[in-house]
Amino acid sequence: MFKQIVTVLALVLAGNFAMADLTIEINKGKDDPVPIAIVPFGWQPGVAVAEDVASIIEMDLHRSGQFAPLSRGDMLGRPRNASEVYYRDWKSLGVDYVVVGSLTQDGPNALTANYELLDVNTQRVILTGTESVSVDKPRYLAHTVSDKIYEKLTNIRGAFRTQLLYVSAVREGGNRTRFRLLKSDIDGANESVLFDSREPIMAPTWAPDGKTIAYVSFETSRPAIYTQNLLTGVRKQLTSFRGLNSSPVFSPDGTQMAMVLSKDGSPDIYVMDLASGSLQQVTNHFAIDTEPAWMPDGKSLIFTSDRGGKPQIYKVQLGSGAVDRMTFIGDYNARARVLPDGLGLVLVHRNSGNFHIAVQDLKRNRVEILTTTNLDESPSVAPNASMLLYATQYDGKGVLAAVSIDGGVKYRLPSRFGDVREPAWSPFLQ
Amino acid sequence: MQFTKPLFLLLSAACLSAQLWAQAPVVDMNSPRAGAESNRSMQGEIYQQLQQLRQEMMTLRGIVEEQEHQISQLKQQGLDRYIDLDRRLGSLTTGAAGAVVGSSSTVANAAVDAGSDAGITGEAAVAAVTGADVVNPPAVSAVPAVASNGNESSDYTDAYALVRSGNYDQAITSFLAYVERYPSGRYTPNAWYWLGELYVAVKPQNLKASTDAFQYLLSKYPDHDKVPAAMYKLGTVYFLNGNKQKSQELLTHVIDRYGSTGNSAVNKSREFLRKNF
Repeated sequence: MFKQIVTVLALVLAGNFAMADLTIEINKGKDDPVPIAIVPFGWQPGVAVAEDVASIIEMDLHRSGQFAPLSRGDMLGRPRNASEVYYRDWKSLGVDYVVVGSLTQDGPNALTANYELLDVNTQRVILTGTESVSVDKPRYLAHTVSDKIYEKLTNIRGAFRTQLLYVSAVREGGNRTRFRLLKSDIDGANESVLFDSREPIMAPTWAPDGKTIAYVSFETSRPAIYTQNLLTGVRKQLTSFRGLNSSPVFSPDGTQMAMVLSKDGSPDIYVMDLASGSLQQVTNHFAIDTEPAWMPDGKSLIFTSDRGGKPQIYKVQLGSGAVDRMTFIGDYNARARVLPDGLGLVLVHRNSGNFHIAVQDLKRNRVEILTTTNLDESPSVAPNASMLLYATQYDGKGVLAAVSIDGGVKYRLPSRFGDVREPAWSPFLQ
Repeated sequence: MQFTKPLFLLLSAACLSAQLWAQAPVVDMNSPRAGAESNRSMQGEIYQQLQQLRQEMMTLRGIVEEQEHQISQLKQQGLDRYIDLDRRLGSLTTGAAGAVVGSSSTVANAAVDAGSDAGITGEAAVAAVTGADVVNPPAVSAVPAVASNGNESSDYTDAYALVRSGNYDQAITSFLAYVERYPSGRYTPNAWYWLGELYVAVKPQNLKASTDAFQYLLSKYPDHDKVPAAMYKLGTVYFLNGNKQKSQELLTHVIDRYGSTGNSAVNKSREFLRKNF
């Protein structure tokens, strides 16, 4: 009976994945991932859940690169709670931790997971938890459990419940291209189209509360910045100045938006107060100033400028307008994003002719190159700073890829069709 | 790369067209439109020059920024070097005087202190953690004379250099001299830690001395950074000694106590338990 359920689930799961635009392919992992066993969760008789929760947890932990989940075929038993666990069995399989749990449905609306995390070496339960979601969100339930386990074992807040924005371009007949702004869970599931256009869509970005997004759309045949509420779907055109309207980024408190406008000649950085719509010009230079990003305190911005002859990252204080150059290594540094702690920058760095993603430590001014492919662009950092997403080329197509902040873990999220680019990792979502 | 490959193209295209424009001034002065032509060619030339000046200025700005950065780096390096030199000179003058006064009396006092301190603060920890009642510093009496340059930190560095170069016997001698000379020195806990390690690394092993060194470190400095690592090592020494139960208890304690700190001793303990139990 149980096996049948699992088989049916596997089919359902496979079906789901075929539908998803992104599939995950891990190409480099950590050298010594922690061995862990996620035992398939027990079921309350009569409950049918549309997803294999344990398998989603397994994939989450695997994708983090820090864990090596034990394959189900190797498991010697299927305990559902700690009292059914024979530590000796798991020790002989070489796993350090075991996760057991069961699912119950309380009433028509609540799906509940009770789970325990066991340390095989000390033979103790080190985490016990209960999580409830509405019945239609088993994946979310699984990601919640993944977050708790990840945090317990690494001391880093888990980011498995976050989401991802990206743009896909699909060539259609007659020299036409269809652009889509897409949103999916961070594992590529639950993909949905937020906006669909015959004209380019660029630079999607999240508001800090995760409820609103902004992007550039050429739908009126010239670039304009739009915001879109994810709950209501309401779109609002924010700017439509002559020339460039690009690179929108919400301030850390969500009340302002930095952007690039070229209405007065050369591209410069502006900040718009979102409530009043009033604009403040932040930089004024005949060179190109673009790609702003906020420092976490919201008092200064970093941006790319070629005012020194080559594109480099500068910082501007919003109060005084004082500008300082931040990057001195490499002849090209652009599209920087600030790490959540403000201590480092993630940027596109050119090294011997190739564009790589690099991280620059702002205290020691050291640059570490994280990626080995070329033409890597648009880095976007996870809210827990453990990984970052970027766009790259693979098999002649634009694909998204992820790399851990220490460069140790890499995986690709190839799209099934079209080119995808400009990933934006969401903040932590409630 | 939204930094604007298109923009750069546009800009360079603009420059290019300006040049083409400027290269055109072959003018027939007899034609009636010659005046206008020469006017236009002059405009083109000015435009081209403006572009060149901009480019030149941006390049110069880049050089200024880079030199400014290099100067501030050089300043900092100069300051660092001066501070280092000053520190070394200072230790040279005071160290020579200190070495004469130092030795016997202070060592004796400190040894007493060490014993009583451990009695008050460390006993419970030792009992709980190691199950041992050794709280006096292990005997360091038979220490051959080791040349000291009178500076605590460089004595430690010298001893540590012996560890790194693999001279374990000499390293033991140096660390023993160190803990005798600086019983409450800044690196004394580290020295005890290395003694514990070294007694296992030398041939023949001296597991008793290693155990004593680790236990002393744990009892005297229960909050020191080296404690998790020392507990792990002590656990492995117990194992070597055949005391499997104590070993397992201590390693489990490391995992329980420091599991949430990400200390590398935790993973090592786990690994050791996995392999040996």
